[in-house]
This record gives sequence, structure tokens and C-alpha cells, in this order.
Amino acid sequence: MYAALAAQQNGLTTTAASLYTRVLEREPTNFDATHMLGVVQYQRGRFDEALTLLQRAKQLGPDISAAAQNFRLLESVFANEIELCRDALARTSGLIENIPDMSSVLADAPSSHIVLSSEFSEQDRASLEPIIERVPRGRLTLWRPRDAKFNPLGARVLDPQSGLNPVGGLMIFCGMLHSSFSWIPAARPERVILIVTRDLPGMLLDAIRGLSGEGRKAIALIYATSELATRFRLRGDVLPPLDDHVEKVSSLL
Amino acid sequence: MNESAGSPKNDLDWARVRNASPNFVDHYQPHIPRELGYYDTGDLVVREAQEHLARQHGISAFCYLCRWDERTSQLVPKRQIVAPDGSEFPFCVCWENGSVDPVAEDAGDAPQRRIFSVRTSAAFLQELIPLMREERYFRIDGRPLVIVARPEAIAETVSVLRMWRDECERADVGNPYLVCFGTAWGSNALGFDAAVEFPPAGFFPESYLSRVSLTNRAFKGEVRGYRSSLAQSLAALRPAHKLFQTVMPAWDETACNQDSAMTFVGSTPELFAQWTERAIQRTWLRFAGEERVVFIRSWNEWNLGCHLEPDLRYGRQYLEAFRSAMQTARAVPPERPTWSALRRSNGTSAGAASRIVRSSFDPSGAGSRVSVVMPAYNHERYVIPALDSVVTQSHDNLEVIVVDDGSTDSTGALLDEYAVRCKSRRITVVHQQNAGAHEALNHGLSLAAGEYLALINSDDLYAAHRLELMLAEMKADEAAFAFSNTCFIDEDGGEIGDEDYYVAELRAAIASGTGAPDPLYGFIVTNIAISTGNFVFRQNLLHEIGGFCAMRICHDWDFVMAASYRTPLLFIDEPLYLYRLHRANTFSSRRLLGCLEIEQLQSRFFADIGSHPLLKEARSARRFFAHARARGLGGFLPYNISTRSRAKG
Repeated sequence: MYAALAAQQNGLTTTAASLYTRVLEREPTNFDATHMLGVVQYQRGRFDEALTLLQRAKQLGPDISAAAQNFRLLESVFANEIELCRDALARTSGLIENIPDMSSVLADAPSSHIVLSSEFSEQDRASLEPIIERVPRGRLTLWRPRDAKFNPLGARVLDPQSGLNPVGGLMIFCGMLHSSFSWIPAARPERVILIVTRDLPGMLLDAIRGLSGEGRKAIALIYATSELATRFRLRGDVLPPLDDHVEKVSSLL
Repeated sequence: MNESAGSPKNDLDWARVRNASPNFVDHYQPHIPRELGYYDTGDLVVREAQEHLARQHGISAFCYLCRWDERTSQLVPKRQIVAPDGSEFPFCVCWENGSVDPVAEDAGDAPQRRIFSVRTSAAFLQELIPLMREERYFRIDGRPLVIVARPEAIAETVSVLRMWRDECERADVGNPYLVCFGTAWGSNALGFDAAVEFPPAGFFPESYLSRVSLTNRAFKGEVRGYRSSLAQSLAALRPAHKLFQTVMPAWDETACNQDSAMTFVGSTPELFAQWTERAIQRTWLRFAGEERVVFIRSWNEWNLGCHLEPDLRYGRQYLEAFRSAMQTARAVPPERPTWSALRRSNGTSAGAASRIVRSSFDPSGAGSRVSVVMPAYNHERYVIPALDSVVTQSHDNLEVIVVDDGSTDSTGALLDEYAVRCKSRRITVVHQQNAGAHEALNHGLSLAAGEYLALINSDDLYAAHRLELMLAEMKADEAAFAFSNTCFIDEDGGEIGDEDYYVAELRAAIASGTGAPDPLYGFIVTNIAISTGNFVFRQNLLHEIGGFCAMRICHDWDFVMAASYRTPLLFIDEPLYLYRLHRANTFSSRRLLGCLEIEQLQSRFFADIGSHPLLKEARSARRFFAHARARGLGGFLPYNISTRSRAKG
């Protein structure tokens, strides 16, 4: 423990982490080692591990406030990042395109692609399915990341490194978590629409930046729910509630 | 001011910049310069174009990072510092006397740091003096700015700095304004005038290594989150010493070390603008006059992916983000509306009243009239119990004014129904468009007729005898402001004890603040009244200090601090206010904004601290200042107080 502490005090966090880990291998319930390893992992940027360790330290030493304080500090770091990104999103308004007549945009697109995100779920499918059903089959292609947990309607695998990606036309990205945006400029979409499905400001910021070709082109937003539209306050349409989907989408298309 | 216009440690090597390649999917490499091309940093035409670009976007000076070449006894690279003919663009020099970059610090084999002798330091200054003589050398209050990267690398630092000052006076270039890198240690004690941040050093950003898909199998470097550095910077408290803020647009060492680079991901011009805006706001609050300087770590640092100059990917977006932040940053704390302004507006400002519902009961009763003001927003679950706790108060003579701040749930309807139904108290319900808590409070206060004003949040509760007890104590103590101890309750009304660390901390803060010679000792650290709802004050206090300012989080705390200049702050040590803690309370989701507002209100409070009535006696003042310093608030004390007290030990 002394060696670990000394290493930590001298800024040698890798060494300190290894020494604390050794202590924990011998004494898995050692509060000090658990707590300090949590602190060191924070300093090393391993926030998830730090959070787990500090939570465990809280359980091992419920009367010791330092672990709880550090745990709360780390939690606040995550909260601060969310706040930061939410505020930064307000500055992206110049990148957001307002489409006054979405129906003609959808109707006129010679080809449409819906690209599903990595976190695409059954819940997302429920909101997207009516759209998929109403788009003329010949003009719509669905794409899914290779690691997608869910594959509705036999979407094609997206693998830009192997040249498997949509080219041209209207590209609708459903969800914000996409493994790569760098292929998009070369794919020359005529227009890009992002369907916002989660209240995750950091991910939305990344998606707007990535999809807009780092700010060189505007994109349009569609919110999956009106709550999301309220949370983000960036202009965009809202998907109609599930029951109205068929009618609304039908009129759009 | 630009902090790294020419970094000798990583001399700009375009071949490396060109050859850098991505280490992971979507890794932005290589960085390809746009209109300036692969320029020669010593080319005077390029320099002129750079100066134009900088000036156009609000950058007022370049700071050149220079090494000392022992063999030639010269600053390196001096060629860069030489100005184009006719240039008036200001500059200053930073002596990069050792590595300050965060890489390899943790390798367990940190390289031996070089120590510069007194003679070398003297020679360095002699080289610098002719540059300081130039008209365009950057000065703060007439003093040439000189930055030293690592003070510990200078032998006999204190004597060297003294010698530098003497030499500069002798050379008639003025007493240099000496600054060193660093955030947390005693730059003043060594003899520096201030310190300056030098990101990415000093932060603990989150590792993204497990989140990226590596494409370079040999990669052994680090991938860190730009956002977590930024979040840490924005949450950092004001230090006790003078510390200039530095912002950084991005960081990527891939061009220097392809396989072992430290790369920050997630930077966007929007986030950079956020950082810049906050740095400007803080600088405005912390400094005056020509000391209001913000540094940017950037320029010519293409090797480190740290450039504002246009590239193919972002063009001028980072420069424009900087300029826009310069234009929008407003740091001055919002003013509290005066009493006459409050009365005049009478709710016609941002949240204009749309509808008023009143109970028919005409108030009367013994004792002073109390107006209870309740701002209400989306608390349909709690608002009726809150009102019940008010109307059943043992104090007789009271009216209730509820301002529904544009609730989107059934709160408004519940309030109207309650007002119509209530036969025991006069209740006025005002509906306004959502305008924020401070506006709702001001609106309610503008309608209040009571000699005493009491506030309550629409989800909290009063103890049954709260007003009776508090008024009695206020009259006895001739205090115009009072607050009570707080009982913390959960969403179901159950008391939360010290098993909850957050509550334990709040209780400890209350105990510590109220156990001090005056509650103000606690209030300078945190809002020990916990919430606006815990305030009871005489109406004439509003005449003296005005209403609540347009702060989103800390308007209440700001109000108490102002009140302390006019009245003793009376603490009643009974849990007469029941404060409800929710999973999602406003402050936890707006912590960064809260940090700024706290600094704003503390700056305003301490700005006039010399005239505070509590500190009339020298002994009280000394004790209070010592307490403020011990609580990390030394940076708010006027500099003369801060240094005088320190000198006395």
C-alpha cells in the first residue's frame, strides 16, 4: 500500500494502479486499496472502472465519507458532460436544415436509404416500421451495422470499409450511435435526415457533426417523440405518435 | 492571446503532419491545411497572413514558445519572432524550459529534467530585452509579459526573478509581468505575478480507448475525451492565486508519435466556443483592466493537431467559434431589480400574467401581516400539501400568493380550484408564461402586501408553527431576514437522514455555518438556507436590495448575500422548513451553470467586502478573511487584503 501511495503521489498512476490491484488480489475487501484504485483509475481516465470501484468502496466503508464524496464527484463529471453537450447543441442551429415540406422531399427522392444505428432496438422499430412499410419498396434500402442486435426486414449490412454503403439519394439515419461517419461525404447524399431517438446530448452532437460533414452541409432532424423535441430545442419535425403513423406517413408519401 | 505560435519542442515538421494516418475508425488524420498551405513559419508573407487571420477573429497577440540554445546563446526559433516590415501585431515570449506535455509522465522513467543556472537565466533575459524594447511587445499595465514554462527548472528561482526585474528596470523596459505554467501551486510565493493554464496538462480526461475501433495494431497510445477535459475546466473553482485561463481547440500527437500518441476525441467548434465563452466570463470576473487576458493553446501546432488555422475539414470554424464566443460572452452578474421596478412591472415582464384567481376570503387576524409567496411549476403531486402546510399555519394574519410559472401539468388547475375552495385564507393565484423561478418570485413579491414576506417552494412543506416562531424571533432580534434549520424529505415525504451522504453533507454545512460567529461564515461557502423557500424577510428589505436577479440557479443565494449587508442573518435552529429532494433537481443537471453563477455572486459579494457591517472591527475582519481563505475563497478577497493577511502570517 505504501509503495502504491508513493507512486500515486509521484504521478506514476500506471504503477500505482498495478500495486493497488496486487493488494486487492490478496485482500479483495481492502477499503483503502479499493478506494484509492478508484481514484487512480479516474486519474488514468478509466471512468467506468473508477465508478465501479468507488461504488464498491462505498459499500466496504459506509462510514467513510471520502469514498462517497469521490463517487459523487465522478457522477457529477458525467452530468457535467451532458450539460456541456446540451449547451453546445444550441450552437449547432446553423447546421440544422428546416424542411417546410417533408412530404415532397420524401416523395421526390429518387432513392431513399434508412441507416439504422448500433443501438437500434425493437422500440425504434415500432416507430420506424410504418414509415418503412409505406415507402415504395423499389426506392428504399435499409442498412444496418454489422454488430446490430436487431435486424428488421432483412436490412443490408453497412460496411463502408468494404464499399458496402449507400450512395446518393436521401439518407435517413435512425438513431445517433453510428460507428463511422467518415464515409458519408464520399457517398454524396442529396440530403441527410437524422431521426433522434434518445435523450443523449453528446451522441446527438457527434451525430450532427458527423452527418453534416463536419459542418459543411446542413442536415434535418426528426424527433422520435415530442419530449425529445422539447429537450433539445433544435428545429425539426416530430414523428407522429404510433397510432397516427400509418395515416400521417401515408399522406407524406 | 495565442499561446503557442511556434512550438520549438515539436518544431513544425510538415512531413510528419502529411504522413500521419488514422489509428482508429473515424480518427481525424492527417490534418491538411487549407488556405495557408504547408507554410514556412519563418516566411514573412505567411506571418503577415497569419496576423491578419488572427486579428480578424479577435486574437490580439501571439505568444512564442522559445527554447534557449546554450551553444549559440540565442532564443530558438528567433527567426519566427522577427516581424514582417511594418507589422504592429503584438507578441510576447514564453521560455519553454522543459517538457510540460502530459505524455510519458506516467511511464515510470520520466526523463531527467534540466536545471538552468542563474547565469543561463541571466543570459536568457539579455536576449529577451531587445525584443521587449519593441513597441509591439505585449504588455499588461505597461509591463512586458514574460512566461516561464517550468519555474522549477530555474535554479534559485526567487533570486533569478528578482534579478530579472532589476535588470529590466535598469534596461528601462519596465518591470516584467512574470507568469508561469501551473494551476495549483504557489506561483506567487516564487515571485511570479500570476500563473497560466497550459492544457491538456492539468486535466484527467476520460479514456475512450475501449470505445474506438483500432485500425493500427501497433498503437499503444491513449485516446481521451475532449469533453471531459472541458467539463473539468468549467467545473474548476476559482483558485486563490491569479491564474490566467487557457483554452485549447483540440489535441492529437499522432504526427509526432504515430503509435504512441495521446489523442483527444470529441472536439467540435461548438464545444470550443463553450470553453472560450466560459474562460472569458471567468476572466472578466477575476481580473480588471489589462489583466483580462485569455490564452489559446494553438497556432502552428499542426504536429499536435492543435491549430486554429483553417484546415480542409473544418475550414475557419474554430476561428469563427472563438470570435463568436468573444462577442457573446457576458460575465457581469445580472442586477437585482429595484423595488420600484418590481412594483412597476407587476408581472408584466417576461412572464406576463394571463389570469388571476382569488379566494373570496378577506384576511384579518392578529399579528403582523405575512405574505407567503409560492412560485409553482409542474408540481401537481406536491402543490396541495404545500399549500395545506401554509394555510394551516398557527400565525393568523397571512395571505398566500401563488405564481403558476406556466406549468404544463395540472398544477395550474389544482391551484385555481384550491383558491376558490379555500375559506380560511386569502389566496391569489397568478398564472404566467414560463419565465423561470426568479421571475415568478419577483412577480409574487410585487403583489404582496404583507409587512413580512415568506417564501415556499411548491413541492416543500412548512412546519405548523413556522411563521409564528420565526416572526417572534425576528422581532426579538430586530432582524430583517431569517431562515430556519431544514428537514430533508424524500418524494414520499419521509425524512432523509445522514445515511444519505448528500444530506449528511448539507447538514454538516448548515451546522458548520450556523455554529460560526455569524451565519455569513457559512453563506460565503454555500447556501446554508438550502432554498428560497426557507426565506422570511421584512418587506423593506426589498426596498433596500431589490428582488431576485436573473440567475437560473443561484438567485436565492445572491439575495441572501446582498441582504447580509443590510441586516443580521438570523438562524432559527429548529427544522421548520421541510425541503424535498428529488432524483432530478435543477442544480444537479445545471451544475456547470451553477459554477458560473456561484462565482458571479461571490464576486459581487466580495467586491465591496471592506464595507460589510459585520467586519467593522479589525479583529472580526481578520477572523472572517482567515475563514474565507481557509475555505478556498482567497481568490475573491481584494488583493491587498489577501497579501496583507498573508504577510502577517
